[in-house]
This record gives sequence, structure tokens and C-alpha cells, in this order.
Amino acid sequence: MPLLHLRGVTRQFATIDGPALQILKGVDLDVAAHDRVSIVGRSGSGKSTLLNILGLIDQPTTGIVELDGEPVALMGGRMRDRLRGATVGFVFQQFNLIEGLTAAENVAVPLHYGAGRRYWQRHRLASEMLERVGLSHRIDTKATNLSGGEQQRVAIARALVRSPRLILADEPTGALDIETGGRIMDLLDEVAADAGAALVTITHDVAVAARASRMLRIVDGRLEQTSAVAA
Amino acid sequence: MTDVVAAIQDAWTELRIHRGRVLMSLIGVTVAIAALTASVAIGELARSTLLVSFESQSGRAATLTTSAWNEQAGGDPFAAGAPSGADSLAVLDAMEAAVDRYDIEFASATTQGQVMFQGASGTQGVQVTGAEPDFAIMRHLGVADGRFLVESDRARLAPAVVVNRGLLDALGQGPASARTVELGGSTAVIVGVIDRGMQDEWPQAWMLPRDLLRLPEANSPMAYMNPPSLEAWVPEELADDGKRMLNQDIAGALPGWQVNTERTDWQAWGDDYDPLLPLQLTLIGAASAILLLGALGLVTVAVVSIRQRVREFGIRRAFGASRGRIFVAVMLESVVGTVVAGAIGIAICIFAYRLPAVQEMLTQGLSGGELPGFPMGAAITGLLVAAAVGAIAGSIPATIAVRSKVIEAIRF
Repeated sequence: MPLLHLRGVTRQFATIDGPALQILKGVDLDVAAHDRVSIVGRSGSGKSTLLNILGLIDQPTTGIVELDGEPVALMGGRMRDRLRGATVGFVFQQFNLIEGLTAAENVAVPLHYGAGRRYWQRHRLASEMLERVGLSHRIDTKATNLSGGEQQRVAIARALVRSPRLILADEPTGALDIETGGRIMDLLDEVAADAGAALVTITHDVAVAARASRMLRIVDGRLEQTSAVAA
Repeated sequence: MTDVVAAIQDAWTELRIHRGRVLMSLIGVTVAIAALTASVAIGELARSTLLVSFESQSGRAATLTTSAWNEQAGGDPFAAGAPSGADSLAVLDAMEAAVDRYDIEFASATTQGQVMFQGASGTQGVQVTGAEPDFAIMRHLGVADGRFLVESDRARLAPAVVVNRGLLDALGQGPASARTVELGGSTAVIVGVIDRGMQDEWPQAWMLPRDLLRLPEANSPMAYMNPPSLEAWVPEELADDGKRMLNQDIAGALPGWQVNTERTDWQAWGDDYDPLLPLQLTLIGAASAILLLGALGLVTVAVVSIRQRVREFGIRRAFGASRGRIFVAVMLESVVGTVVAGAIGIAICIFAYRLPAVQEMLTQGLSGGELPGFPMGAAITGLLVAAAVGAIAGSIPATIAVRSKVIEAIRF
């Protein structure tokens, strides 16, 4: 059974003065545990909308989304929130660290919404994750005082701190130079593999996309398989 | 449990991060809570002071007063047929026997008379109250120096007398202890001094009823003496039975006398009587208006700042925070902030209450000059109001926070 199963997923948005905007037009996708999937596409092609649906943040207009065989549409909002926190880890293009918090406090944010035992151990778990991404010397540094590469490492540590089974990375190297971006992708691949998590990456960068075992292209709201790359 | 602790932790972290903004927005709340707490405290203090004042005038609840008069005098104690010294002693005997029979814990026969004393500037008149040792407790008579009358004073050859500051001043300078006063034709030993501020500027004295009745001047034809009465402080639930039994007992011991027992403490005046309510309502009204303005400032700053935190809420939602959790966290930020501000406001009030100048002002008219501790009811009210204002003011930005869309907030 795939971790994520999408069939005939559509998503449309109402507009004020015209016909509804059809962003996704029947997407079929299966993501298995340990999968490495990259999705490429032009701006406005629906990549972010698809990622929102994969991350249980948005719901499709029509079609089926199942997580571990359970239809997401039948779950209540609170249940979806809990499932998202426990199953999915996000890595954003703009890092999206919370200003004012230290690196460790940012990494610990997801633990505030998890099981009690992990909440009480949040300082230790956050420190261990930061050590894992090579930032043990920056634990108490404010997020705003970190470089771009360091901020993305903190974001990766945050995405992994609850041991998610699915990591969704949206342009993870988009705000970094080529060299730093390469190191970040090496790290992301490594920690995702160590954690046994599936990794779905959305990117413009073909080199980043080529790291995945499956590269998909989104064109006019539909997914197309472009190649099969050995990881 | 963990959710609650985590939500409070989130709120505290946010307050720490945005402390500058929070500090500015909470100044108004701090001032408002200080004003509210002070209003309630002043109200409570005035109420307890007034209660003591009422009780010092009319006795504690329930005080039964038994009066006796000779029917031959037609109810006028100073007309022909008014009780002689011997008659008054007989009345005292009857009253004391009744107190002993019913084992009344606090009771005092009382009588009053005007006698002369030898002051520094000549002979003057003084109002003397004949009272038993229990009278000081029953009427909140605090002694500033020395002591009140005690049981052993009955055995003195020279009667013991408690004087007020007015009488002491009239006697001239010198220590109150080991002093005597020529009172009503006899030498009395001063054992204590009472000073209730302005109330004690005119000379006044207290001595045991029998000692008062035995003064040579009290037995002269020109003496101005009230007949003895009995004050008994009894449990309120026994007031009705006690009234009937005391009346019956004393009347039986005094044939030919008219005896009447009534409840005379101020609480017998009526259940709804609250002379301080208008003042307290005015103070609380003014403080509430200040509080409303403080809360409006708090809401304005919170609403403006919440719009700058939409991305943060999006991030938190992406990592598993539910809408409810975001709502509670934002509201708790406000509650934690106002409770801290309220606590500071209350601390300012307590600090001000303990300032010597304030203590001096508030102790005017209090017997013994002792101010009670800061009314904890006022502090608790202040803290609860602070929490309520925080919850109400916080619910508006919290509603805005949960309505923000995660997708737009984190902008994939």
C-alpha cells in the first residue's frame, strides 16, 4: 500500500469576475515509503497547489487522496492537523523560521503539537537534530543571525524532528547559491534516507530534480512522468 | 495537560519575543488594574472601618441591651423617684446574676455620669462611662498606652480608671503610668489611655460601674447619673430567646421596676443597609472606565501586530497546530500579559498602601491606630478582572489569527 495515493485529483478556485480557475485537472500519483520524487514545472502550473494537497493543508475539489489507505476527505480538520504534524515535514524555499526564536526553539516548534513525551524532551531532541545537520555550535543563535545555508539546515532539522514519513520540500535550494544548495540537497537526501522518509521535492532546478528516483513534470494541471533516474 | 502547558509556554515565548510591543500595550492595563484594585481595597477598608465604627457605637451582632427604670419615676430616670445609688447597685446585682446564670461570655453592665476632675488648669467636668472589662472587646476600645479595666481592678482600694487623650492632656504633661486623677471626689489610678484621634480630644473616662457608683460625687443629690443597663453580646441565632430570658429574669429580680430588653447593634437596623455602596460603585465605575480604555489600547496593538504574524501562524499550522490551538495560544498571550500587568498593578497598590503617609491618612479615626492588612479580596478581584480583560481583548486577535489562510501565509 502506498504512503500517499492520489486519483483524479482536481482543484479549482473561484474568481470574482470570471469562470472558476482550474489549476489541477486530474492528477494521479502514488508515493511509497522511502520514495524520492521530484516535481518540476513552470510558474503557475500548479506545483504549489499539488504540494498543499499532498501536505494535507488543502483539499481537492474532486478526486481521492488517501494516506496509508485512509481517505483524507473523511477526516475532520483537527484530525488532519494532527496527522499532518505527525506524518509530514515541510522544508520551504524561504526557510520560514520564526523570527525571535533561537535555532533550537525553531526546531522544537513541531514538538509543541505532538505527543506529551516528546514535548517534555524537546530541548534534547532539538539539540540532537541540530547536531545532525552540523549546527551544534549554533543551538542558541537567533534565527535572524544565521546565514541562508544555516537557516535552511535549521529548517531541515525542524522538518525531521518529529520523524515524519513524508518530507515535502518546496524549492529547498531556491534562496541559496549553487554550492550551498548542493550541500543542502546532499544533507536532505542523507537525513531523509537515514530517517526512512519519502521525499517529494518541488523545484525549477533540473539538477536538483535529477537527484530523485522519479522525476515528474506538471504541465497544464496534469502530471507527466519524464524519466526514471537511479538515486 | 501537555497541551495546556505547551500553549502557556507558546504564549510566554511570544511575550518574550515581542516584549517591547507588549510592554507598551500593557501600561494602560497596569494602571487600570492598579486603579481598580485600589478602588476595591478602599471600598473594603472603608467598609471594615465603618463596621468597626458602627460596632463601637452600638455593639457587635447580636448585642442585647436591658434597661431598667423605677415605675414611680414614670420612665424619667432623673425625675423624682429616679434610682438612688443603692437602687442602682440592686439593678447591677440583678443584671450580674442573670449574666452568671446564662453563662454569657461577653457582657457588661454600663452606666454613665458627669463628674468633676482636677485638671492642670482647674476643675473640669468629664463624662465617665461605667463599664466591665468585656466592654473593650464588645465596643472595639483599643488602648494606646497601658491596659483596659480587668477583673482584678475590682479589688483595688483606689478605683482604676482608663482615660482618653483629652483627659490626659487636661491633666498636664507627664507619663500616664503611675498617675492618679482626682475624679468625682475620690482619687483614681490611671491604668490606660485611649486615643482614637479627633474623637478623643474632649475628656472622657471609663471605670468599673460599681466604682463609678461609689464615687462621692455620684451619690450627691446634684449627681447626673444614668441608671445602669446591661449589654450582652450573644450569638445571633440566640438573640430572640436571649432577649426574652434576660428580660424575664431581671424583671423577676427587680419587683416594682420596668425592664425592657432590645437588640441594639447596627445589624438589627435592617439587612439591606449598606451606606458604602454608592461610594464603592462610583469608584469601581471610574476604574472600569480606565480599564475599558486600557483594554481598547491592548486590542488595537494586538490586532495590528497579529497581521504581521500571519506567516508564523501558517508555519505553526503546517507543523500540526490546529485552529483551536492557535486561538488558545494567541488568547493566552493576552491573558498572560494582562495577568502579569495586573500583578504589577496590585503590587503597586500594596506598596502604596504600606507607605507611612498613606497609613497615617487611612488610620484616622481607627481605634488603636492599627490598619488591617491589605484586603486580599481586592487583590484577587484585580487579578480575576485582569485575566478576564486579557481573555476578552485576546479573543479578537485570536479570531483574526485562526482565520488567516495557511497557504497564503507560508507561500509555497
